[in-house]
Order: sequence, then structure tokens, then C-alpha cells
Amino acid sequence: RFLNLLVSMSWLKATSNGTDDVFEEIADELDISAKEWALNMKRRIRDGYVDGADAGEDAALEVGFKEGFQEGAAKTLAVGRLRGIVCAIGSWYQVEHRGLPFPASVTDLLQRVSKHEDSIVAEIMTAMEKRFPPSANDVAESLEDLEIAPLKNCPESDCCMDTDCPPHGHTLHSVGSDSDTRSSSCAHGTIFSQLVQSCRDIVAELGLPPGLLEHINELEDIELTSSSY
Amino acid sequence: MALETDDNDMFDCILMADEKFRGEGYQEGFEKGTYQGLQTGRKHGASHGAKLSTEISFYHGFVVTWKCLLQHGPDPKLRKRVKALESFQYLIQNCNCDDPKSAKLQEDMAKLRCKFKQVCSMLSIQTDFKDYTKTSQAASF
Repeated sequence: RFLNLLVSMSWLKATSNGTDDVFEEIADELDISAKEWALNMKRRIRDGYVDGADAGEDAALEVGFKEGFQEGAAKTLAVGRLRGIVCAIGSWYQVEHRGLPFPASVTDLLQRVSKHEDSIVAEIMTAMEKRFPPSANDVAESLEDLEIAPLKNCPESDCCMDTDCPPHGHTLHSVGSDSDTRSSSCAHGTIFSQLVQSCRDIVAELGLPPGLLEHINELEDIELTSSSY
Repeated sequence: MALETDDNDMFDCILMADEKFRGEGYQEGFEKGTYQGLQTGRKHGASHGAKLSTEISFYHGFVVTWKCLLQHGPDPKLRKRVKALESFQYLIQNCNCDDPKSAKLQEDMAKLRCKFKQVCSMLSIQTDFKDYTKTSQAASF
């Protein structure tokens, strides 16, 4: 209807001018109008996109912050406590044995715990950088752009015959898969267990009350819980 | 009259198209913005959570250990020190981390840092924050 109106208006205008090139002028004007219309609509899409992006980000920031906060807090809970325990043992030793420095075993453990703590914080940051893999829509769009057909869901028995499917036993990992995270948390768990064991050894070495071992043993349970995040 | 309604229909159509295109853009933008917001929020949240938890849990480990060591000591004059440690432990346990952006959390953290210095002084320990609470400055937000 809008285009019809434009046509009729252009027609009237052209005939009133008494020109012979009526259709050419109409075509030119229509072309200009259509371009202007398309440009305006693109602008509207862009304006909407900008407003939507701002609104979406504002809405999600706090949710993301709370989730990240809880996750980050859980991951450093056990190692923080261990550092507190080791520092307390060291400072107690200094009070008990006036003038004597920290025992070498305590100093060494304190350094190792601090280093481990730093590595956990650093890893949390890098994990958050890689956190979000592309959405299904993004992947689908990319495939369309590249003109790649999506993989067919065929039964495993037919899989080797179908060239579109990965061979049997091969799995497609998404970008930023959990396998890296799992292996690193496993490594952290091993290191942490060693640190806890060193702490137990120090308790035995310095003849500290056995009640302290209960608190030290608790740490491994905390670490196990936090690694499930 | 018929022409007038046609005109109205046409302008409605234009307005509808205008809103439709804006709506489509908004929807797409909202999805991307939500994704971006979650990512940014999570990153900052994780950083703050890790630093804050490190500090609070450090205090917890420190208090629990000192309490354990003092209670097994022979000196009867240690009661005052143990009491100070117990009040510090109470503060730690009641530190509310549920709302990371609350002003109360910041107040609680300030109290904890102050109490830690007080306890260290009472125990005759040199308070070197570089060794003990190396993340305390970074954790204040």
C-alpha cells in the first residue's frame, strides 16, 4: 500500500510536470524511497539491538556476579583455611620459642600454600575468560555462513558408512569443554592433598595437640565439595 | 472516507513495521547482552569471591588453630586470650556472604580486620599483613 501510494504520488507529480519520462522518474523516486525505507529499517534494527544489548547486560550482570562470587568463594575456602592454620602454627612456634625463626618445614609449607592459592585465583580468572562457549544459534549461523550441512543423527552401527558423521568412538567436544577444568581440578586436588599431608607431618614434628588434626582433616572434605563447582 | 481509512491502515502498517524491526533488533540485542552480562558479572564475581573467601577462611584457620594450641597449654592466664579468639570466631561465623554487594558485608570485613589486629596484639604476634592476609587489600570492594 505504501509503495502504491508512492507510485500514484509520483505519477501525479510527473504528469503535472508534463514530462514524457514518467516511468523513469517514478522508478528513480521509488528506488530512492525504497533505499531510504531500507536504511530507516536498518537503523531501527540497530537502535533496537543497542537498547536490547544494554537491557540484557544490566539484567544479567548481577545474576552473573552472584554466581561467580559463590563459585570463586567455594574454590578458595580450603586453601585459605590451610594458610591460616600454617601461619598460626608458625606464629605460635615463635611465641613459644622466643627469638627462634619459623622452622624450615613451616616456612616451606607456607610458601607452597601461598603459591597454590595464587594459582587457584589465577585459574579462576582464566576459566571465567573461557567460560561461555558459543551458543547453539551462533554455531548454526556460522555453519550456514560456511554452507556446511549439520551432522545427521544416525545410529552408531551405520555411522562408519555415513561420511557426514564422525567415526565411531570419536566425539565432538564443544569449545571450552569441561575436560580441561576436570583435569586441572584433579591436579589441584592432588597438590592440595600433599599440602595437607605436609601440615599433618608438621603437627607430628612439633608435637602439637592431636585435636588440631581434626581441623586439618576437615580441609580435604571442603576441597572435595568445592571441586564439584 | 474510504481513502482516509486506507491512509490510516497504511500508516499503521508503516508504524507496525517500524516497531517490528526495532523489536527484532531488541530481542537479538537482549540475548547477546544477557550473554555478555553473565560473562562479565561472573568474571568479576569470581574474582571478588575468591579474594574475600581467601581472607575470611584464613582468619578461620588462624583462630581455630590458636584456640586449639592455647586450650592445650599449661598457663591458666590464657583465658583472656581464648576469650578474644572466641569473639573473633563468632564474628567470622556471623559474617554474611550471601549478598556480596551489601554494605553489611563490607562493615563485617572491616570489623574482622580490626579484630584480627587486636587478637595478634594480644597474642604478642607481629602483624605482618603481607604474610598473613596478602589478599585483604584486594578484597575490599
